[in-house]
Amino acid sequence: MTLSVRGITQSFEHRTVLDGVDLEVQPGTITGLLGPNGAGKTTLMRIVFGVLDPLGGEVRWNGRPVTDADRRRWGYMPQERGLYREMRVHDHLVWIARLYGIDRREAGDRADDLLGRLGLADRARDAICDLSGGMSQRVQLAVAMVHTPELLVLDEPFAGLDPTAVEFLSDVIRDHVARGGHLVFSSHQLDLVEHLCESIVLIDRGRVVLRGTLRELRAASTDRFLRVDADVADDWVAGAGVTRLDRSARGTRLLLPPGADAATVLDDVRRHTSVSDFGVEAPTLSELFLAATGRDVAETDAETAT
Amino acid sequence: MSVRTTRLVVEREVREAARRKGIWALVAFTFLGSMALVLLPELLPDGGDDGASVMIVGDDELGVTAALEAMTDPELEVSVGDDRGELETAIADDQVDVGVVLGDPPIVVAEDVDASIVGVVSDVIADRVVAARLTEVGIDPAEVRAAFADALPTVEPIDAERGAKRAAGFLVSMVLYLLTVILTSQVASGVAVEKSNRVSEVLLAIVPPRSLLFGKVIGVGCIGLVTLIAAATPVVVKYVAGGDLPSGLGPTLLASSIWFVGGLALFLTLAGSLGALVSRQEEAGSVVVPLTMILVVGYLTALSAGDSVVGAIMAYFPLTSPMVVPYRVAVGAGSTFEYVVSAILLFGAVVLAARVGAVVFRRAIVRTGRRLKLREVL
Ligand SMILES: Nc1ncnc2c1ncn2[C@@H]1O[C@H](COP(=O)(O)OP(=O)(O)OP(=O)(O)O)[C@@H](O)[C@H]1O
Ligand SMILES: [Mg+2]
Repeated sequence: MTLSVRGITQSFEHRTVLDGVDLEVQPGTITGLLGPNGAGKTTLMRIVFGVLDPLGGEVRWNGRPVTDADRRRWGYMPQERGLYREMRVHDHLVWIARLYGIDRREAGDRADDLLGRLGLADRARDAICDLSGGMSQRVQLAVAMVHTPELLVLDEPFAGLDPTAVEFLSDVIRDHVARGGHLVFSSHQLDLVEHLCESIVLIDRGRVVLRGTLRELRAASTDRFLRVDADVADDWVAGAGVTRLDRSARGTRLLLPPGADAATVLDDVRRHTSVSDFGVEAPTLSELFLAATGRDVAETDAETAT
Repeated sequence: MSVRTTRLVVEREVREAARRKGIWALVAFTFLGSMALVLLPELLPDGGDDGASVMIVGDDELGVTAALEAMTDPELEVSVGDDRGELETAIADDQVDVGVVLGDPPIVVAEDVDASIVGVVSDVIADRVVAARLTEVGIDPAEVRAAFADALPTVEPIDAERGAKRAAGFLVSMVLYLLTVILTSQVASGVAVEKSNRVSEVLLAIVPPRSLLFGKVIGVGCIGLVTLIAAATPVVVKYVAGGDLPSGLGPTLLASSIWFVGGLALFLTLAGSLGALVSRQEEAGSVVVPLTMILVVGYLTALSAGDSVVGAIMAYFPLTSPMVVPYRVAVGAGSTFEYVVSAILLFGAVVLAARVGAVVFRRAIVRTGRRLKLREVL
């Protein structure tokens, strides 16, 4: 079984927001739909779920056009969380499960089980509006999973979560695909999700700019980076054609010119300061994005925000 | 349309509503209002029935006392006083209603000379005086009475209960109007909330849009029915127990139920689809303004001209008939033909509204961001 999205085109008020986007989601693989704010990720997911009708293109499941019955075996966690705020957590889950056709008893059991797994067992009787943002997000996830869907579509599931919750959610995601489930999630925080994605589709301004497994994409890139745990001044390495990227509390990241010898650059740095940890690395996801679009993800986000 | 999912939406709507205090306040308020309507006439002291009292002073040669005591409709309590002074004090102290000073001519003394009891007493005295004079000149008063019996005017009220019927119509219209207005805005804001906080997006991935719309309409409608039942129960109980009701309330209630259900279905469906046009809950109020205006017009027409030609015309329009027809039934202004045609048109309009409303709802509910115009989604 595969979810296969072909040539989706969509526009709002004559502005094209998706331009022939393809997306394949294979079982047992975590697929990330990545891109900066406004790239069109949410719009694509809404189309996948039939909440919006696309102008062009089609969504296929099992090699044939998707039906409403197929969609009822999928789970969707929209970016703008949608829950009845005044309903109690447990009631809400049971009600959603029953909408999927699960009988009341079974629905109650599943709600108990999910709430336990998501660490919300003690909040089951609370109204949703009394929960914290991160907690209601977990309820939203539970709503998407209560009918053990074959395909999980999570729109920005990591937004607003603390590191423990991010780890926790990552486990839930890995667990779902380990059982042979389909999963696609979106994110604009490329660095945060890079360790989780196996397959990515990177979109920008409604077009796919990069796709494939992360390992292949990295291997295909000729860019190499030297990471050192020290502050590096520009002029220390300027002669070798090295570009200094960011300097943070963790150290400095340097882009090596093609064919450059990392050891020589490291020696240049050590002439000025001591280095106790270093590494030669393939590009990160955001560096791949930068290479593909010539734009920085963070800058792109800032642009759309204004 | 999936019956199962619609039923679940209805169930949620009703269960969540039952947990809100506002709903119970509304139900309790209408119930108490209806109780008051039914019980008050029983509790208040009755004005006319316990009879009036008359005090007589002076020589009763004419047999006025006996004649007054013999009266049955109204029954009079007759007492005899010593002099006019005592009589006037008794009237001033409200111990008796009317005084009679027998003499030549007799005098009727009363605080309120227009009261019907004054007329009754004067008539009795006049009758005795005329009888006495006729006997004096040798004519038998009984013969004269017999000769005139079928020539004297009798009083026939046109519709003694017209006032009561109007009151019944007024009350029922008011309850229906208020309830419809409240529920209409409740449906619209309910849909707007679901759209604005994106519950609809989650639900649309599971259930067809029709289930969402009709589930909400039926759910809120059920709350309306519970309220109506709360209002009707005291009336029905009293009717079954054999108490007297304001005349016309029975048929009015029956007609009200039919037009209330039809009107509610129509207005709530329209409100639900209009509510899907807005993107924020605060805008929900403004989107139902046209509906509320139509309701106000129907209501005011019912009250001011329900039994006129205007009322007769509005009884056929599905948007105004739910307000106008129950009133017309209450005062007995319409014909059976009118009621049947009106009901058919109303329920036809409900079916039409359900079809168009479902389309509007389905197209509008997914278009977030700004308030849509109706023609953008048609
Ligand atoms: N209902 C709508 N009406 C008009 N324009 C819309 C609508 N929904 C989305 N857009 C536009 O489509 C573009 C893509 O939006 P979308 O929400 O799909 O982006 P995204 O990739 O999910 O961004 P983010 O990371 O911020 O969630 C944006 O320019 C947005 O303004
Ligand atoms: Mg988005």
